[in-house]
Amino acid sequence: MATPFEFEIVTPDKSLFYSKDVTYVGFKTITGSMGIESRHLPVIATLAVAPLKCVFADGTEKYFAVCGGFLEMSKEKCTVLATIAEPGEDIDLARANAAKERAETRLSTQQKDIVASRAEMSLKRAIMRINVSKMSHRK
Amino acid sequence: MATAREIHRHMKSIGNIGKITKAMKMVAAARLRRAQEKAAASRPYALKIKEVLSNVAADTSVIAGLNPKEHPLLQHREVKRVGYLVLCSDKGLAGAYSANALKKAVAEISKCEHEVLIITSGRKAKEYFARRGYNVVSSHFGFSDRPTYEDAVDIAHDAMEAFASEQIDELHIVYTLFKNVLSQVPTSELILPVKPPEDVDSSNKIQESFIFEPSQDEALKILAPKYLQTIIYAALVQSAASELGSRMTAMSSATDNAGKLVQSLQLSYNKARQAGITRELNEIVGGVEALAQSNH
Repeated sequence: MATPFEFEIVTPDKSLFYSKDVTYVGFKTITGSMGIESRHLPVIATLAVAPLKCVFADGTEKYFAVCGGFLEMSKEKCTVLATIAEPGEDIDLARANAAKERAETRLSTQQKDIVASRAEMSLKRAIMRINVSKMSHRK
Repeated sequence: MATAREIHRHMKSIGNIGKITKAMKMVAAARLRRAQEKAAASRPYALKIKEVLSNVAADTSVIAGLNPKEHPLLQHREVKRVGYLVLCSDKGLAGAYSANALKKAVAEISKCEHEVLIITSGRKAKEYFARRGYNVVSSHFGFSDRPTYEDAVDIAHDAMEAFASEQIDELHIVYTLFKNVLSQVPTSELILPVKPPEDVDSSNKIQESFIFEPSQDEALKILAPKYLQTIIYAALVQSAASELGSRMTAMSSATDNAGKLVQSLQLSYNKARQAGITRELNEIVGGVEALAQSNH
């Protein structure tokens, strides 16, 4: 039985989520996937635009859409700092789908490089949101 | 002396102004409460990002060995041109708020011996500096009393571009620190190059050694701009609260003054009205007497 630890997600506007009985956090850094359990060594990780999964002591899971940021684990407390983060249930699937389509059309109608890179980023975010939303609703 | 009707009209218009200022005061009070809540809500993120940055930058040897090309924001250069980011309001009717912030900015600028470039936030600041022939490189407005994090990101983007392209070698921010409703302090701080915050209690804390995933270098690359955005956001939120607080006190005293003015006008109105009645009575009595005498 894994021991629970503190877990918090903070965004510039508010503290998005806080829980004391998280036993596992799975996420993606800019170089690859990682997972954290209790008594992990202190770590500061740079996050990619990817889903973040946390498992609670009672076995339930929760997914978050995190668009980059940092994760810090120290003294049995794990903190995620993200400019944009949303819990899976709150994602507006219709909006995410619309954003995905918009980004795709923008990418296919080759415009300037700067616009293309921005479209790519928003496509990445939209796909991630859709995935997170699906994962949250699967159970 | 004005006629009773003129005084009455004046009184009415002052009364209406009083109603408007009272409404503005209440709007400012409601917004101020929201702004203060926002300031409180943004604090955990700001504190945490400071903490992470000080942890990342704890190892000074790493900072020294950085490639300046990849970390433009941490680069210390010889100062030739200095940038000032001035945060001010979009609208007036906030007492001396804009004037104080601008005064502080001008005082700072006149102390500076280098060439000065200015980035403004808020219409008032833009108008002020543009009219006086300062070199304004970019200006932002439309959000001074309700800033969002995106606004801070936009400003930070311009600031970083100017700094990275060596347009400026230093950036100061001038904003208004919100102490309470009655006191707001114009403040100036150096924000670029990014200086990692010194840990206040590092002496009595056992320095934890973090594992960096993927590396300290990568973390700093993303952290430095985020830190800048956070500082600017915090300053924007403080300035917004100051603006609203200042507007609230200004409108509150305007309402009081309107009330006092109406009172004194009411007095002279009553006097004028009474004088009119007395005069009319005198005329009637005089007329009656004249008639009585002619009848004799």
